[in-house]
Amino acid sequence: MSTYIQIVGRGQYLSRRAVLGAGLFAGTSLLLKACAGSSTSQSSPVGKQLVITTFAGSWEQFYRSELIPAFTANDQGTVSVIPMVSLEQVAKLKASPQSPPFDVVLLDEGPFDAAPKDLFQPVSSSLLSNYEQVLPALKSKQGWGPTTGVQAVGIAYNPKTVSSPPTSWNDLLDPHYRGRVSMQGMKTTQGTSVMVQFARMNGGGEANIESAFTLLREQLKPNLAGIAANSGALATLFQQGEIDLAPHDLNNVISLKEKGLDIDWVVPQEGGIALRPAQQIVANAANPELAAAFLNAALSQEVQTAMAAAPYYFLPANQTVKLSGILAEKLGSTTEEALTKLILLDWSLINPNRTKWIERFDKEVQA
Amino acid sequence: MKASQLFSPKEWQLALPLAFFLHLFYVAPLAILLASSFQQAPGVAGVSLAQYGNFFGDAVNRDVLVDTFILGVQVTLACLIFGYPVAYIYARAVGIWKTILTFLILLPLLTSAVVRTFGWVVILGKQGLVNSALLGLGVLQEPVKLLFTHHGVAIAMTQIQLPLMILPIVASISQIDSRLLAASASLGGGAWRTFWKVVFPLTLPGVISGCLLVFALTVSSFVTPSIIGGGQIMYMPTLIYQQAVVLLNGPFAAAISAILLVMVLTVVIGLSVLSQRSRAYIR
Repeated sequence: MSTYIQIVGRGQYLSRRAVLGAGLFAGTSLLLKACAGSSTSQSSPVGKQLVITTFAGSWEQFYRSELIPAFTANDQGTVSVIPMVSLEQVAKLKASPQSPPFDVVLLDEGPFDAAPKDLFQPVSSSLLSNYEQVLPALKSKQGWGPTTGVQAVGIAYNPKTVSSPPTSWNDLLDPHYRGRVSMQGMKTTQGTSVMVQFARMNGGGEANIESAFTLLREQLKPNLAGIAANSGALATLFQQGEIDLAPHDLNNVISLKEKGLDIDWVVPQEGGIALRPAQQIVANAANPELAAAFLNAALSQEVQTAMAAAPYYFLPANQTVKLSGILAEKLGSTTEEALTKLILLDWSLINPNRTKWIERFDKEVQA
Repeated sequence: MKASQLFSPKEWQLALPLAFFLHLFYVAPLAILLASSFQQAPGVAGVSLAQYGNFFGDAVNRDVLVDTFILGVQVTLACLIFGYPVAYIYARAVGIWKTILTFLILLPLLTSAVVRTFGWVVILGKQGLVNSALLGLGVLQEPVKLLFTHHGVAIAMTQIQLPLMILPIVASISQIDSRLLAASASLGGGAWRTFWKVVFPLTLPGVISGCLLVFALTVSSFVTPSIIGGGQIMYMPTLIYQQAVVLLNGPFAAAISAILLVMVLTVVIGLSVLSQRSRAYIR
């Protein structure tokens, strides 16, 4: 008796299931069809739309609140922003060079220099009415996009615990700060720059970093509380009083300071390091003219003035913009003057060895 | 009856949409990944074990593998020890307490791992909650270093994975027939004896699936180990990211991924065998 009921029950159960399953299957295939159909119709309005990348944090904030509103105000097109680190942007472009996922990218000079150049297209200066105003030192000799804004790397410190402000990169090695120093790893532009700077100060340079590794092993590592994964992590470490000293960007430090953190920043006597991220137009971009218009908007006096002020504090590439406030106090009244206190590294010498160095650095610092 | 014949009751067909999806977006990429791990170098044709040789030839990489495994085991055990009592209490709770406990257990799942991880940075720091409390109570003279250590990562991961251990155990505890407990008590079994002889064996399937989830997700997690551990402590996922995205060494990254996959599969198969034995025991 009970078996009989079970069989009947099971039969009904299955038929309901079967109908449901068939329905689901039909629904899914309709959905797939719909997806395939919509992708073809999407290609027509692409002309007025730019897909661009930027770095997360201050850069993204600057793009969203200043650059993009300024660009779209002229009714030139719409922009969608994707925040991503340089190396990842290059990896994505490499993965699909024929139909690139972005139109304009923002890349640190190191990763840009290392990337295959057929991923990008040079920008004609005739399309950039603001090109004349760009500081010559920040223009590319090969005709690539000029530097968008300069970030100055110096030493950030906690004025509560560090009584006399540091003056030299060597202060990071002072045994007095054992376990109270942090830095970003060599996979970041900042970390590599600092290591190369240490090499330069000890008889090496962009092509020969051996002396910096010796320094790392003997003097820097005992001082390191840890290697910060990114600049956000570095900020948290300062905030928690976990560290006293770290190489850091001026712009990040100012914005932390304005939020009330005990943090200040100095240019070391050997010179700070200038990081020069630049926008590039991607090869095979759907609308190169629109992309060039976007680059031009980024270089305009109006946008560059906003970029040099609160809360971003990047050094402007446009030489008609004067520095003010903290930026002027730390680095001088113009970007040109600021660059005399900063070192420009030659990434074409660094890049051939960089991957080896990153691997070696990560192994050397293992706890 | 006719309708059920029309849509013939072959249950496997129900899984077709998902199977199609998984083959396209999971099985095929996985096959490509495994194939590329046998490349000698990016873009070089031919089959070679060079990448695997490189991995096991380097002491640092072997340490990373061992550390990852140890982290997985530690976090799984900690989750089990902390999670089981909570699951037990939850299964016995009534009324409003059940709602409150549900909320508390699920709470960690409601915020993103990134946010929780930064929270742990604040807690584990030298002037963080843990150190301030221990120093204030006079337990410690010097603050202990937890941030950027293996222990720090294990502590944070335990909190983050805990719900995944509790939920399967709750499911299996609530399936236990309460008459079994009454029977055990009436036959003279004390609370502990009842627990170890009746309740615990009956919840083994839940415990094992909790362990599986926690272990697999711990050894493959990326955000928490990279922020709490900092650059100085590496685990397999950080190594994969470094090789694939930073150094653009695809074949080596694929080989590391394959090794991680083998480790997870070994544990999964081991635990599944245990699970079947425990089911046999229940019947």
